[in-house]
Amino acid sequence: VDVAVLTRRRAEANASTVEAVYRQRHREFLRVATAITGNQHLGEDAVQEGLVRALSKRSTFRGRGTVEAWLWKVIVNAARNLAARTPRPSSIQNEETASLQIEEAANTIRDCVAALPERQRLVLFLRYYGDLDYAAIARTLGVRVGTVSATLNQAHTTLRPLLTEEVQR
Amino acid sequence: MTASSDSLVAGALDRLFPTTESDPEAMLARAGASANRIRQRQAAHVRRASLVAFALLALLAGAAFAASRFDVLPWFDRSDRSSASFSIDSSRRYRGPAPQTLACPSAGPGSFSCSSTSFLEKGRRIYLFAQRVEAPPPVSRRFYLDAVNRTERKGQISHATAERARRDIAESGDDFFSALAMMNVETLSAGGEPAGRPGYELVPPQGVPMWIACAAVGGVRCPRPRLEPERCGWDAALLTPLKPGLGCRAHPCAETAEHQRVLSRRDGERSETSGSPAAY
Repeated sequence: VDVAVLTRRRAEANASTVEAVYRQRHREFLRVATAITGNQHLGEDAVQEGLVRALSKRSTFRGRGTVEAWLWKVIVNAARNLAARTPRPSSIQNEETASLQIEEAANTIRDCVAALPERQRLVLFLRYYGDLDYAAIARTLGVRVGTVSATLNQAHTTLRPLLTEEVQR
Repeated sequence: MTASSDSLVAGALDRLFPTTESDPEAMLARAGASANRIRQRQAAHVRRASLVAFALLALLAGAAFAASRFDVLPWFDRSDRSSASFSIDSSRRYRGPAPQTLACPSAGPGSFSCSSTSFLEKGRRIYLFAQRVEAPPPVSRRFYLDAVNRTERKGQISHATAERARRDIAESGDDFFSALAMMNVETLSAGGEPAGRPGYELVPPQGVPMWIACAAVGGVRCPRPRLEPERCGWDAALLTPLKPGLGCRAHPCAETAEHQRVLSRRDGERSETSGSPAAY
């Protein structure tokens, strides 16, 4: 299956197409879902829930965009729903944050990001973890491209002084 | 539009949630299995819903069939509310008393009374359908005026002809139209013997004049007149059963020269428009 073609054109959302898109972008899907839920295990659950929904309700794909954009929307919604049902962890539960210093720095960054409005957080995650452009982010969140640009600028403006202070410390 | 990135933000986010490896095939296998279970549940729901829908349809069909047994549906199914349809259910028979014959000694124009002469003993009897009779058109001055106007609008007669017809109608008396109406009714009932009932003859009530004449058309001569010619002043006869090709032309008896003139003109117009003789 030519994933590049499938993700760019308006393709039919059959099972093999969904699977091909997922194989191609599974790292980004998991990273964004983990960031939204705040936990890698919850992120995996969200991705699986999104995949199940995409595979079992393929008829809900109306062919207005690419299968990838539709899959992004399904997984992001699953992650948001899961995050809403689950209490936010008090500290980063990532095994990668091994040392205390790194963990403290990560918690500071997490607090800064957590303080952002939800739309700014989502735009940040999709831009940096999902590596999506403005148009793809707009399709995923159901907003205008201009809104994505403005929201990302607001997030940068809010985070930059806080992160600069953290780096200097 | 290219998306902007901030290296400081990107670095911080990388530290927050670094890229982790995962096995996409294991995830797809789990998700596929769950999706299959969901689809099977959905299919079961659809099957159950289909069964319920089929049962409901069967119930409705049963109700419809039951209704049809009592001739309910044909009445509901009429778009034209000015008419009604019916059917004869040969499986049903009237079991009550019924007169064998009716005597109508005072039969005449208008309403009259009849009395039954005998009743059959109780028992099953079947009534045969004898004849379906169309309602006669409302023959009147208004009827002919409307017919003339309608024919003129269709362009089948000229304006001058229509004007002449309207003038003739205006000059004719009410008794003339009464005679036309009676002729029309007689035409309907002039079947002689009803089909399959030899020995019976449809006759008009006593005292009703039958001013109907028959003229030779196409080489076929109508039966001998039964009414006195002097009463009508010209050849008159009962209208005999119309048979294909006979083409009898019936005339009401014209008691006045004026009526005769109207009829002659009308006959001429009929010939002018239709090109063939017609039975009235």
